[in-house]
Amino acid sequence: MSYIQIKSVSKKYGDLTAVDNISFEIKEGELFGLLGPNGAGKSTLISIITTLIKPSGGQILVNGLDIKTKQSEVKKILGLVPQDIALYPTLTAGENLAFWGKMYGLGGRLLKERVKEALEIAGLSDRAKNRIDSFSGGMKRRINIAAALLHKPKVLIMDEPTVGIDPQSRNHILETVQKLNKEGMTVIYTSHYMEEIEFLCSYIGIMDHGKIIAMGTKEELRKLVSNKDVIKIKLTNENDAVFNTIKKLDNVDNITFIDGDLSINTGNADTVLAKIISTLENAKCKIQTINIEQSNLESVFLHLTGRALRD
Amino acid sequence: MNKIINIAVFDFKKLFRDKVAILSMILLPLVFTFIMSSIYPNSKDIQEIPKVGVGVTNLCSSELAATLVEELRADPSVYLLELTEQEILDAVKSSGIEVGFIIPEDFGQEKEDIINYNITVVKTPSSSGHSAIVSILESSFTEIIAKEGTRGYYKNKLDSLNITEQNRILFILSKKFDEKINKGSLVTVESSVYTAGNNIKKFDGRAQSSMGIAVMFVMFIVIIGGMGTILDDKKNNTWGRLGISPTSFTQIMAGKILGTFIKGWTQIIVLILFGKFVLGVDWGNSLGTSIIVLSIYLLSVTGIGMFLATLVKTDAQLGPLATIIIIPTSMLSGCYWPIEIMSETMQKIAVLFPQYWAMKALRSTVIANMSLSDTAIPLIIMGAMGMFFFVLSTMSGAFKHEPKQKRGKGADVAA
Amino acid sequence: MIFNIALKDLKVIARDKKALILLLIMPIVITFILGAAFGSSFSKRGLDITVFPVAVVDKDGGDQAKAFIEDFLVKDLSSLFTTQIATEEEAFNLLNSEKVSTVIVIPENFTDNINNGENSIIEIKSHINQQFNSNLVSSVVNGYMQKLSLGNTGANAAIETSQEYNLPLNSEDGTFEAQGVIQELQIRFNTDTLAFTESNQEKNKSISSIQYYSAAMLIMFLLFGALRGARMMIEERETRTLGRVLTTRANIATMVLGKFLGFFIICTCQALVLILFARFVYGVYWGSSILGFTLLTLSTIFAGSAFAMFLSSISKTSEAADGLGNILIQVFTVLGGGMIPVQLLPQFMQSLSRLTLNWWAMQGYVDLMFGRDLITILPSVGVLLLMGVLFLGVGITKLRLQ
Repeated sequence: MSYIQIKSVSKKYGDLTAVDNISFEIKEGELFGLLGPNGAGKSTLISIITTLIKPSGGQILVNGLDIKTKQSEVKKILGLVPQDIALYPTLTAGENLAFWGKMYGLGGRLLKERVKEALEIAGLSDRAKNRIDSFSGGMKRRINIAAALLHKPKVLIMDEPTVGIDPQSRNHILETVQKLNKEGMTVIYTSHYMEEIEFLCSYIGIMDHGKIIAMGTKEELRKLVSNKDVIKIKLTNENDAVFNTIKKLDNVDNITFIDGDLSINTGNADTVLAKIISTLENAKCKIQTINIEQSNLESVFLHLTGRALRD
Repeated sequence: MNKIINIAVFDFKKLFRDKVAILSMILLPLVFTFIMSSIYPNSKDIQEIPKVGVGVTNLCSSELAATLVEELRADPSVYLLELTEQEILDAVKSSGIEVGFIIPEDFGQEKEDIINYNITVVKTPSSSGHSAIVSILESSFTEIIAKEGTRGYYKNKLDSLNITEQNRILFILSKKFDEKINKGSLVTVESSVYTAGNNIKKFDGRAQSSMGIAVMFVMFIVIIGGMGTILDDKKNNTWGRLGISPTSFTQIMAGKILGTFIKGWTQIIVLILFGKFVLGVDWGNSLGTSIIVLSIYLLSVTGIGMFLATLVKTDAQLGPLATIIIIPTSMLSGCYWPIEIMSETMQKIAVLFPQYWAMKALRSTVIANMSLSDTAIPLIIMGAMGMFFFVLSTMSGAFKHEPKQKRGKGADVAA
Repeated sequence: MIFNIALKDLKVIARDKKALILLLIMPIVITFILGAAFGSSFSKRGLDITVFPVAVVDKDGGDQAKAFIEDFLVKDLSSLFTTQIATEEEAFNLLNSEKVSTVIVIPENFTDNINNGENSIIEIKSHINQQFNSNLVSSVVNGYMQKLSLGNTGANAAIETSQEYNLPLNSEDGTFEAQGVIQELQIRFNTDTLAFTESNQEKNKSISSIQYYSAAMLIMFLLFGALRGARMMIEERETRTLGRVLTTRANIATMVLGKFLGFFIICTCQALVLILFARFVYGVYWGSSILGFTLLTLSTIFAGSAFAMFLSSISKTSEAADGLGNILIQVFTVLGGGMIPVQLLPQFMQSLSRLTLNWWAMQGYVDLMFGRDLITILPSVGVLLLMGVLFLGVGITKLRLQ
């Protein structure tokens, strides 16, 4: 049963179309990943779902409620973890959580319990009395997430929750997300980190230039590039002519070259690899390393757009 | 309602986390009030008037000159020093005395049909206290002239009647004259401020200056400490987060305004109590009306603060903008000094500022004990100003919760 | 090296429009307002008084009251205010609605009381928003009543003495005698008045309020300018670029001196703009001694920059320095005579004034504006330099220890 229905939603800023006629559905209890490079329109879409931005067109239903007409009911169902830390730096972690809890209508003993729980989820119970501005980036991120959990939302929307933090905090966050989802929470997780989406999400949408360019389970998406490997070659010098030669080889589907990294999508790495290496050597390109990767979301994106995720 | 209170209470809490804000919003106005009100004597005990240092060099040996000096010495507000000419010049220059007088050798003597009553005054050009001393001298002199005149006229009469024993009679005349003088002037003039009710009240400079400082600093706390929190919320991204919480825009704004109100009133209360108990300022009998006046003033300034907050992007920009607006307009509105000392044009310009109306209304309630109906016009004007700016700023759409668009920058935003 | 550091700071500040507004436009505006506000307390020109309305209530109706109203209020003072005669009720209604600024009430039996040597009281009620005009009314009425009282006191004394000694009087009831004394005294009051001349020392010299406040605001905003520099210094410490600069060949002394030079140049540029603006737009005369003026300005800037240095050494964050600096500068300015003339303050406050660098700088500028020479301002310059050295010394010592 689909819990969130997005029906031909678009958003235009003058000439720029940030979200371009998007439609999809998210089932209850799903961990939905929204993957795409920076500027793909993920945050705009999230802002539209959370009622911060009015769409130029289209309709969104959350649990059957139109977000336009039933705004305050929808807001109570949703919990958003914003991309930027949205906390008061001079207040303590506990005070911040208490504040946001009250903004969701919590009070009294329930509020105290929820704040305690949220601090436990963030793993920062012992730092409740410390001011946010004394926290590290990762700790702030964790409180930033905790603040969205206080009212036990049916849907948790996380907009790039792991930007710029240490690996330890990142692992903590990913584990938390998994745990919350197992407890039955529907989660929308946006990121431009392919690994995170791949690790977490059961159902994935890939976004680029304001459009959903592919959608499905991990397996379904991989099938798009099935039997395709990625050969990654690190070069110390470059030669545009030779790239064109490689492109024309049999079994080579696509080729990108970024900062000395040559990525080649191919149907069969074993047959084509020898040819590629000899072509490169003939052109006097020096090879540092060669890697052969099985297909992943990165290669899906590459396959669909001809660009790498992080260019 | 809970959410509104929540926003207000936490805004208030945040203010107290900022020590610098506390210093500049509570301590600075206290210091200002202290210094500015020290210009005026304490309204409760007039005896405390500080004596003004006055220097005199009497080069004249006449009785007239000597009497004049004694009269000056006898005045309760004068601390008289007899100095040489040079000492007077030095003392004035170093501000040791407020003013110096040099009575010339030929004082009171006739020269070419004109009696010389010339006294040389030594003062700094910026001296403001000298005029009071000069009028003491003038008044003493008039008294001496009256006595001398009566005596002279009477002596002529006695002469024309060929009466002996003149000295004794003239002595009695002088004695009677002095007795009458000591009983007080025949006609006294009593000036007071017209107040509601029948109590007589003198104009209270301390109350006026304390009010002025309060009116000005309240504007600071309302604009920077109050409406500035919206910008602060934007900076902290919490403005957007407030927008996605199930709280309406009206509730959020009401919370912000309530928080601002609490801050403003905290400052007002601190200043009123400080004025009352430390400086002995009399805040008058119509305290209730004054509270209404200040509340409406707070609302009108809140409207202005909200408007200013729409003009800038960060609270770091709001500070200088607010300062450049608040200080000059407060000066023009009579927060620093009585507005009457300024030129007519300046006084007309002042009508544009809410501080002017607040001061006007407060003078009526604090000093003249007037009632609400007497302050209706200032209240209506302040209310209208507040509404105008409130509507203007909500219409501007600057408080939308929309996140900033990082359009087309995808590629160069670092991961 | 030192210049390099200073130059960088200059570039940073020149890009900051907000700071430019605060440091240049603000002083110009405030100087103008202060100058206009205190237009009369410095120059000898009187205020431009517009004729304002006054109501008089005559409860007496006798000759004395009539003479007071018709000859004095209506005729003699017509250039000051217009007088309208009203009943008590009318008069207070007018006052309440601020249609008149002042109400003068002549009590019942005023004339009789004067003739019988009994006391009476003239009441002057003023509207709260019309204190200035009311004070004017009070003082002229006071003067009139003093002379009236003294005249009659003299007359009464004369009559009583005559009666006591049984001297032959010119008329049965003594009125003539009384009139004679009163007339004599009125003549004397008009001829024998004190005249005051200002001592030669300061004669013909006065400074206008715009002059005074140009100097006061110059000093205040120089301090703000220096504070801005101090903030940059701490921001540098906060962003750790200070550490980075120190890892180059620069040592702490070079660093401090470079920063100090930066403040100094910033303030000098600011001073130059403000001084020239005041000179050519407001027509402010800064004195005739160019050498003295330059020396005084530079020592003020020196003391101000050193003060900023000191501030940055004792504050942990740029916000703290900013807040503390703002507070101190404003307090110094009020105390040092920058907003209201120091002479208005009570004696103990005036002594406190001398602890501020504003006061010393102000004294120097005022001296120069009076046309005095270099020698007169040397004490001010000396104290400013001493203050500067002290602040700088403490600043460097504190930074060394960090």
